[in-house]
Amino acid sequence: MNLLEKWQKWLSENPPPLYIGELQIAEGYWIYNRKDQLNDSLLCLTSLLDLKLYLRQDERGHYRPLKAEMGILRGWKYGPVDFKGLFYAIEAIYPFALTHWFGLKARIIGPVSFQKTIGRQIGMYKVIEKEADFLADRTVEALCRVKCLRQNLWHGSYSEPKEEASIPLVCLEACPLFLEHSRKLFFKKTTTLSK
Amino acid sequence: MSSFPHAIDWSKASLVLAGHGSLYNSEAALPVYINAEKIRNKKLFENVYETFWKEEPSFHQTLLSIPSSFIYVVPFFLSHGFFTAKVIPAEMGIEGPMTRMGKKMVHYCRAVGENPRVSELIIEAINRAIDFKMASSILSESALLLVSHGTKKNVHSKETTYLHWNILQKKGIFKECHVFFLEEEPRISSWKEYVRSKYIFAVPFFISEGDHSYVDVPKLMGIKKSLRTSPISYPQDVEGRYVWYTKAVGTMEGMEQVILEQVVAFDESFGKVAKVAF
Repeated sequence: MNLLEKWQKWLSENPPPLYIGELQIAEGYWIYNRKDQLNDSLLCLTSLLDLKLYLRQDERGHYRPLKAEMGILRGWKYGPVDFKGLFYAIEAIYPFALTHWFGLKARIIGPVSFQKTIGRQIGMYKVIEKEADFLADRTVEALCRVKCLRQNLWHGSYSEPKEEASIPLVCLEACPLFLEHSRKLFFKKTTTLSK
Repeated sequence: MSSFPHAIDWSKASLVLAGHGSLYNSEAALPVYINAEKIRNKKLFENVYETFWKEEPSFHQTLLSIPSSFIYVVPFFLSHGFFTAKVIPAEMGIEGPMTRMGKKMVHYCRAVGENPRVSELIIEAINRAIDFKMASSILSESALLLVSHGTKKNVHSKETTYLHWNILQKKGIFKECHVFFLEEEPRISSWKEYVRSKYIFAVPFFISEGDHSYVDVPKLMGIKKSLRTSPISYPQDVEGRYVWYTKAVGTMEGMEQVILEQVVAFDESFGKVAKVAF
């Protein structure tokens, strides 16, 4: 059974309403912010590209690079779509959210340790290696726990899901924003120590 | 519609478009998203994925997560440099043009900027920028300026800029063809010292729109109006010269064809002969 077939089967066993991250899925299928009511007043996004680009900003119009950051825009809806369209819409908003969850359940995909992520760095993030454990701990506290909806599975400390969900969002590896934050923290620390 | 030889049944393969992206500038990833969507709509591949160095989904997670057995990775970069030669291979575990990863076979194509057709896109963009009837009379009296970033950190970063300068110069469409840089000599701020023509077509040789293409290059050229805040009319008068300024190369119309041609070029280089039309 391939991934889409697994998804179709799971959907047939778990009818809407469904909750993933800050999204709600209604019969039809419609997808929208769970804080909204599904009605005609919501802006109807018509393509996956619209969905990807529209949700790149927050309500103040600022760029939102962390895809699972809390505070996804309100006031939109996407649909109606079939099971396949729903799969791609969810993955457009939360990249690989379903792939990772089904992959984890089937044990064909798993978390990647921070040591491995840092170990393959050859450029600007190589410096993180010098203080990897310290920087990872601090960045998890400052970034993941405060901002991100994903449940971190690669860091030692257990993190509680922040939203009740039909399918939990999982984090299998340090993301680009995590590396950037860790790098900044490294230079902040070394600058402080050298003063 | 073109017909090209290709290696395997693309409908059973995934295409991965690998761009730089940004954690600070939302526009940096747009050409990757837009071109991926254009190709997705052609329904040539089993799936089309966007992946980024500085955004989610990351290069590493993307390749781990794609279920397809055949994967083409096309770097959405203008030059074959640090990112295409080092970062993408390191992040994705790519060891050469073809890498076996368990049940997956990953085909690593060349960067989009290396395709000679990019020169055609530049000419088409310039033709669109001016009145068609004016084109033949003006272009032969004009100077083309390719404006690239340039960096002393990587000797290869300039190569594709000069590749297209060479192609465009040989076509003989323009009276003069020049290359300028932001961070190397000859610098774009000194263009008036080198360029004699009255009509100027400046092309930002960048993969996406951002501060360099919208702000830095126009400002250094002497274009007083801001490109970022509102569309401006062309030509712009810069000390008695008439300047047209195009979109960044990576955002030009037809880039999706260039991406597909990079896949075709990969297949051809391995002697594949099946046919596909796009």
